Amino acid sequence: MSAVLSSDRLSAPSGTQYIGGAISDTVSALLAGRRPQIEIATACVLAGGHLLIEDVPGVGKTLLAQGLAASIGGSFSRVQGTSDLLPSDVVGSLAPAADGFSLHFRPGPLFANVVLFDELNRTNARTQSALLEVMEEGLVTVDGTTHPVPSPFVLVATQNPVEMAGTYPLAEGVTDRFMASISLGRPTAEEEVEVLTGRRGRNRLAGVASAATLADLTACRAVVREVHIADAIARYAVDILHATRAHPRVTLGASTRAGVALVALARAFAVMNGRDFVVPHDIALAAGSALAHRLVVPSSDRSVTAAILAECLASVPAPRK
Amino acid sequence: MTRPAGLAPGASALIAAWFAAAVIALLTGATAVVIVLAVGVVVMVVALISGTHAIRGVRIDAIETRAAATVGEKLQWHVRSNITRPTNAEVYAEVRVAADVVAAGWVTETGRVGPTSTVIEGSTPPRGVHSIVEVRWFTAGGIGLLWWRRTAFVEFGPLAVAPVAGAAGAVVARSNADVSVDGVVGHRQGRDDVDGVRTWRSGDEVNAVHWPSTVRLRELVVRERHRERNEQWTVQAHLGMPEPDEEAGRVRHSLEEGLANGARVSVCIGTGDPEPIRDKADVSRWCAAFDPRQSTATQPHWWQRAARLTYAEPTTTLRPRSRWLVAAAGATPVIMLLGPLGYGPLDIAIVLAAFAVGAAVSSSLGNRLRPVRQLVGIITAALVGGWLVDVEAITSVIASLRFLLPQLLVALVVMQGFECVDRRSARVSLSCAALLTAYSAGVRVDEQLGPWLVVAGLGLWVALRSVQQTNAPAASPRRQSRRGLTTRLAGGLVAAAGVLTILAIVPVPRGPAQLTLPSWLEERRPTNGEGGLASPDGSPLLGGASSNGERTDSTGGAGGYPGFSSTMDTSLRGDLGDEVVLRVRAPYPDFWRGQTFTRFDGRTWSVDDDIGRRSVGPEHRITPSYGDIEIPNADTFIQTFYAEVDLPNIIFAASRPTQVLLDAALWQRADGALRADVVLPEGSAYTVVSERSGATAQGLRANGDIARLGSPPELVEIPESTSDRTLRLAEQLAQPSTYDTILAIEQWLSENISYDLDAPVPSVGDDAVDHFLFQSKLGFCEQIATATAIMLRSLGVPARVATGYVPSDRDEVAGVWISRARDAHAWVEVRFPSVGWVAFDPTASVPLAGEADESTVGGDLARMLTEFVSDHAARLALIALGAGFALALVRRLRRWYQRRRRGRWGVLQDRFVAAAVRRGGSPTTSNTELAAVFAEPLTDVADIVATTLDESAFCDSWTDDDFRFEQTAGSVRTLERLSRPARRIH
Repeated sequence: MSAVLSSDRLSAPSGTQYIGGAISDTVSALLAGRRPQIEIATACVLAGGHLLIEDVPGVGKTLLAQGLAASIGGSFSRVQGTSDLLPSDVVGSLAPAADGFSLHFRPGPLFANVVLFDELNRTNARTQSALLEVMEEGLVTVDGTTHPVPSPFVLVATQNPVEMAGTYPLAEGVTDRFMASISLGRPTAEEEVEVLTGRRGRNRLAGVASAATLADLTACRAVVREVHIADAIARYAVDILHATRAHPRVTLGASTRAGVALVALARAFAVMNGRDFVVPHDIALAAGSALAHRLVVPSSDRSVTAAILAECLASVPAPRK
Repeated sequence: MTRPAGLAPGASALIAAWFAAAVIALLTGATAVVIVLAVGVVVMVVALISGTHAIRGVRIDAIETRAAATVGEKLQWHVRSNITRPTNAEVYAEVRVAADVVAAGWVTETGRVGPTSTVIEGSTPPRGVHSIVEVRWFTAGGIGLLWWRRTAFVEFGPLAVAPVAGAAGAVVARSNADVSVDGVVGHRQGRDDVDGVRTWRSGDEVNAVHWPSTVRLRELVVRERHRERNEQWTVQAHLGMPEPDEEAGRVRHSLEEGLANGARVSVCIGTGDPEPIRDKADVSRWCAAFDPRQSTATQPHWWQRAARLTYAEPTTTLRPRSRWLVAAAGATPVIMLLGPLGYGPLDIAIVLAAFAVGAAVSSSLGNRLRPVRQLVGIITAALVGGWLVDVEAITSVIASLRFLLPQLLVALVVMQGFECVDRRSARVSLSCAALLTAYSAGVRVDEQLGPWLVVAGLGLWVALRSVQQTNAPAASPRRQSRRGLTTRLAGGLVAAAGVLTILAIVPVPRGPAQLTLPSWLEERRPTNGEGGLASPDGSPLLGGASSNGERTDSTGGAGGYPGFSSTMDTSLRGDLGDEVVLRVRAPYPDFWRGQTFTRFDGRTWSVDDDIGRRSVGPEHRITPSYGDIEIPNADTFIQTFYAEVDLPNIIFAASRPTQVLLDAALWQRADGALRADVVLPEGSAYTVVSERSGATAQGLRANGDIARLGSPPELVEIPESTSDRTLRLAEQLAQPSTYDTILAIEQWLSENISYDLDAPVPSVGDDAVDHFLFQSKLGFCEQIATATAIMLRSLGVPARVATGYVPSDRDEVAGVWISRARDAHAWVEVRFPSVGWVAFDPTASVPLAGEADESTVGGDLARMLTEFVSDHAARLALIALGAGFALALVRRLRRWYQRRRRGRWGVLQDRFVAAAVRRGGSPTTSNTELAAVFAEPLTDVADIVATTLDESAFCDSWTDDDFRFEQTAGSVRTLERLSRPARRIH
């Protein structure tokens, strides 16, 4: 999918459709291949959501998050999930001030534009739950005082689906708050050569120029929220949600919040394609990443979930004129 | 493997109707019934084939349901099937697990190629873990007479069916590790550790409630103690219990109780190792899989299984629409039958009203108030029967075939209409309608029969198909493929060819069975004279007109033909019209002889005065008259004459009649003619059984010159006025054998005489034969016959002139020969010693009796069709052209309507989807994905089209623009052109 269409007839507000393309291009310069996943990540950022990456170590999850941060010119911080990590380690805590009597708030690593929470499922349920407020509201409350995190705020969490021993599986309430989930997958041989020779990869990070400013991103998010969605297409999204709920192999189908995320992601795709209206294909494209982590299926294999989602999509006819 | 699953209820009635129709065919000898039978056979074959064809187009791919269930729950079964051949037949699927039917329902969307998924509400199979399911799917095709079945065994994700928890529990061994180690005697002391909180369970102490959490969560929360966690329940399951399901239920009860109490739970079978149970899902799984005893279920014997294969149809419901179609299909043959039986529009309207009442009552009442419905039905049928039957007309068994049986049949069909509430009775109704159709095909002989049969057949076909359908088809498969239409057309042609092929080996029926020879008088109009001729109104007919100027009496017989009176002036023919006079059901054409003339005075033939022997009917044995020869083993030749106009009391018959069925007295005249003592009004019928002489050219020639044998003088007498040149001509044409002489005379006449109905009348006193042969050289059949007879008589050959009708047309559907007024004819009869009187005529194309071809029904029909096509080539071409125009107009209109309904962009969208689907796209995916199916050079074009179409549909600031429309329409045309099958490109 080309991020920038050369058509002059398409009527998105000028400039905004290029931001998505520019962010994707910047990240692509770092991360070899995996263009569709990068575009989903970009769309997730444009739609104001948080991203869940499910994959084995060493495929570039951190680099993707860092690239996103660099391309929007924002600050980046990173938390490594362990079982003894406490909420205060993440959100920040009250520390004695220089005068030795009063306490002042010392912000935790959450106070950055892009936060990478590595191996989220290794940290305990308390710390996982501490993320709920910041993910939903963009606020952190410590000792009764509420502190806003920098805006825009994007949480990129990863989890390793292979090594499950000693983990705290993410509760449905937590996974539901991620707008999209992706799996990066292995790069191809050519792409790996690019990484090993240094043409792509972490050592290019220093040379990355930001593709947009934080203000641009905020403006772009406003545009995305205003994208028109026709009733027929909203109905299409609802039908897909219903299909997941009625599917025999799904224990728990997609929630209404999933539908909201689905439409938001589809709106971002529309803007990235230079449109100010959503088409059915945007929904179909968004459904794969917006719903996959929300379905509860007996098997934890991502390919099973993908197959079920494909069946659900195929069973709902796309709306047309 | 495809195998028949059984007949649909009521199908046997249709088969019975076919056999009944076969009996009708034997009794009436009607060609039309034979055609109906052949069509019936082809429909049965189609019914077989359509079922097998339809069932092979459906494949069941997978069955899905939940992974766990409890006995007695409702369960949704997803049947994923793949349609490889679209069909409009309905397919019924039955899901069986371990020989129990757990779900059954109709498969949806069989009219579209591709995968389809059906959700069937069903029940759970018996307790156990099931991983294989037997799917049977059934279809009866579009006609629904014979059900076919296919079976597949499909593996599916294991379904664990757990028993319902029993009322009582199993034996449980409880232990508590902490209690035994620490010596703590119970949680009442509260000395063991608190390990978190949990929701309240019955039996908890009040002082264990954790109030802060209770207030926050607004439900009772208690402190959970370490001790509880370590409580261990071991449930004992027993093998070999008489009721294994109950044992499993008891185990489930105890396991769930243990889990509810927060204990560590395990289960052991007998003395085996305990197996830990973690959660409720584990409980159901274990209880489902628990197998306490070997199953001892036995397979039924094959005969027990065979006994269940009698009737199969998943549903008996009949849609109201089908009910009315059945009524319409039943009403058509009634109109067809009652019309020719002489009933007027009022009678038919009353019967139709009775049909409508039956349909309305049975479709509104359904199965309720059965006695009331039946009572109303019986009363209505009795009223209809009473209205139709004319008791006075039933004078004999034969008359009851016409005046009682059809009326009773109609009354019975009316009564059956009230019983028609389900599919079985609907099919029985249709069988009755089919039987009535066959009956009327046997009774009717008019030319309307063919069109009526087509209408009745179509009605039956449509009703039969409609009865089979459960619902109105949601997505008509007709729209989705042109191939379907072509297949149907080809199927129709093959079926028609099949009918013709069957008929091609069926000979034209030889006539009705002896028992049921038809004979009735529409009205009894007695004649006055004793054996004299009577005109159609019953008054005496004394003689014909004369060209000598003196009119003797009236103008003559039927339609003014002078040959049907006691004298016949050879110079007069009368003005004869085109109206149909006689229809004769007979296998061969022949001369239908009415009168014979022996005396000739030079201008006029006259009949003998001898009125002959009188016999009383209704069954007359005809004794041979002078010159008739009794031929051993002669073919019987049955003819039924249907009077289409009022006829005189002359009984027409093919030579030589042996038996006549007519409910009136007959005079069997010495000259071989037959006269009744009543005239034959329009609508009457009688039957004649004749012997066919079997004369062939070879046999006649072998007789040699028959003049040498001598003969009675009146048969070789020639008038005084016969001219010498006539005698000389006769001698000149004489050959060694009489047969060749006759041929030579016919040859001479055809070369020297012109056939002319306006031949001049000879002047008074002239010899008519001489005038015809040598002066005018113009003439018609009477003069040709007279000249031939006189020349033969001059050579000593016994000859006479006969008058009657010749058949001019054949109605191949009804199997009757048609004679019109202008087919009144005169011909020569020559008496050969070996075979008796033989008719000769150069103008009518009637073959010798022994040389007539025996044709078949199919041969006749095929000839009729080819003649029709060659005769009406121009008209057919015109009709085809008109139909083409009409089709084009309909397409235009449809396109216009589509455009109106869908808008121009909507039409474009439909065309784009159709083009993409032809390339292998799925019709449910989005435009962008459809665009991806187009190959490389087209991808960009297709992408832009897809985007524009989406924009037209979903963009709120969209403005229609002619330029963009033209551009997009051009792109769609390109896509359509290049997405056609490859043969169109090279």
